[in-house]
Amino acid sequence: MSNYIIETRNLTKTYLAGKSVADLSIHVQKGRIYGLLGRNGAGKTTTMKMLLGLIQPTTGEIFIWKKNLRGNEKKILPRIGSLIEAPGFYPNLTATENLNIFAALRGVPNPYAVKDALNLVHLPYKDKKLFSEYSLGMKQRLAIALAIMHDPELLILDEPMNGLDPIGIAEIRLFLRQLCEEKGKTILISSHILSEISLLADDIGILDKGVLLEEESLAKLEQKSSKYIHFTISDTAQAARILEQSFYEKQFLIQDDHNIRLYNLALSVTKIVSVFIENGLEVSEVYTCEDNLEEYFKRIIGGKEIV
Amino acid sequence: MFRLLQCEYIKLKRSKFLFIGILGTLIVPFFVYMKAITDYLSNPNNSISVFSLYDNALMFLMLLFAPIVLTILGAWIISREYIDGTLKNIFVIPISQITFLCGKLFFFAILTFMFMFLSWLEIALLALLCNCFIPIAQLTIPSFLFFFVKMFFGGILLWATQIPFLYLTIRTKGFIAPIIAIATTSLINVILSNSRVARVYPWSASYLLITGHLSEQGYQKEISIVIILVICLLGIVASLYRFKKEEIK
Repeated sequence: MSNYIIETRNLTKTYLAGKSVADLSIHVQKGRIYGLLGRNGAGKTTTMKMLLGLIQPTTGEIFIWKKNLRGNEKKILPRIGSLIEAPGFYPNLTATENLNIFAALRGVPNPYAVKDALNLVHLPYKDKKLFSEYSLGMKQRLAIALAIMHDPELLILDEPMNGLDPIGIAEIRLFLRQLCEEKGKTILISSHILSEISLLADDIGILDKGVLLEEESLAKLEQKSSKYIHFTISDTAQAARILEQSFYEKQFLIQDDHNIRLYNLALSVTKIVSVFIENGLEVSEVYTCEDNLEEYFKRIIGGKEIV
Repeated sequence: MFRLLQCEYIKLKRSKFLFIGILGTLIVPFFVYMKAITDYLSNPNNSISVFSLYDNALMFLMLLFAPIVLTILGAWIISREYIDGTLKNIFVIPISQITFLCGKLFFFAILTFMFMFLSWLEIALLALLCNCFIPIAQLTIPSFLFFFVKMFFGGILLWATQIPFLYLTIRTKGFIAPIIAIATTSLINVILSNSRVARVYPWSASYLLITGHLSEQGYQKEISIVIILVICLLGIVASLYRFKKEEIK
């Protein structure tokens, strides 16, 4: 086992409706931000809940700090700060009162922990406003304050930017970046917004329908997604058959009846074009193009929107 | 456990449910006095005694009012954790489900005793006040202490017989089902109040045990005690089992 803070092995969660997470093996490295990216219902929250012991995996194992989570919850969980789904607090209490409850339950030794955490997320310490009167953004900030209050080594944050305004998002992004770079915290963050993850994460795991489609550093993903060959031809369905049968190639994306993209740049364009023509296809345009990350993710998850 | 109880106390701040609960403790003694004073004014031979006041209050409290109010309070202190979505913050601390539920049950016991104590105190204070205008018989410290002990044990039995409704709260993650169930149970209490079956019906048996009516009717109280214990233990075991299995979906 290497320097992973979180490592899951074939993690699976099955409900009556089917598999929510299937054979998931993720690897979160120390001192880095890992972004779990996927559409709504991809299995991000289920994965995070399993990592926090809130739900039990059907099969598979979770190792956090190289210890199996099962049976070591009391050693592992106090070192983690978390935010799962919508913030959950007592509506009849103020932010300070809410945090005081959780600080007391955690046995947080620092008497200024609540005040410091609220300051960090720009929420007032002495405020009579009740949680029920908070805006969604303020609730989200309070949930982040709860996650960091006990100075955890690992943060597991499920869609933490939900409900924040653009300035709030930038602030929290900077704050998380600082936590990671200056304090060496490890952060696992989930989102369905690609731009958010690509601006924050060092490593990315792409999850779709409970399956991890890709796990790579952001730098490598950007490299991977950089280029493709675009063909404008008379029949893309036939072109696809030719690519599969003659070139054994599957790394392509049919855009419509006349446009197709090939992502394997190692193939000879001249040879492909001549085979297309031999098979009666009309090739009107061929060019090499740069793909952005968004296009790449859409292709990875099968052309579906992710942003 | 102390921390859990301390936190449960903080959670009650500004809560309307607690206010309703406290208000609830005032209703039965108030109406018992109203009835006693009306009877006295219509016929001064109907003297008012501390014993009759407490006896009447115990009947309405144990058979009808306290079970409903306490079930609402108990169901609320548990179901709010589901409704407010706070369990995901608590279990990751980590606090075990069993410790957490035991804290809730203990806190519910404190609320039950508080309910009974406030009812006892109100009867005592009203008796002292009333005595300035209408003579109240048996107005002695031993009389008050006698009923203090009775109401304390009444609180224990009330707590024990409410546990199944707390299980229902955990099962349904809300307080509608337990409220319907306790309303039905209390209605059956009223129907059975003069029947032989009441001694084996745990919610009626509690009242019969505490007032001594069971012994007066020549029944063995051990059978009723065993039935109440079984109901309580089944409720605790089922609640702990269900809560232990709980997944935060």
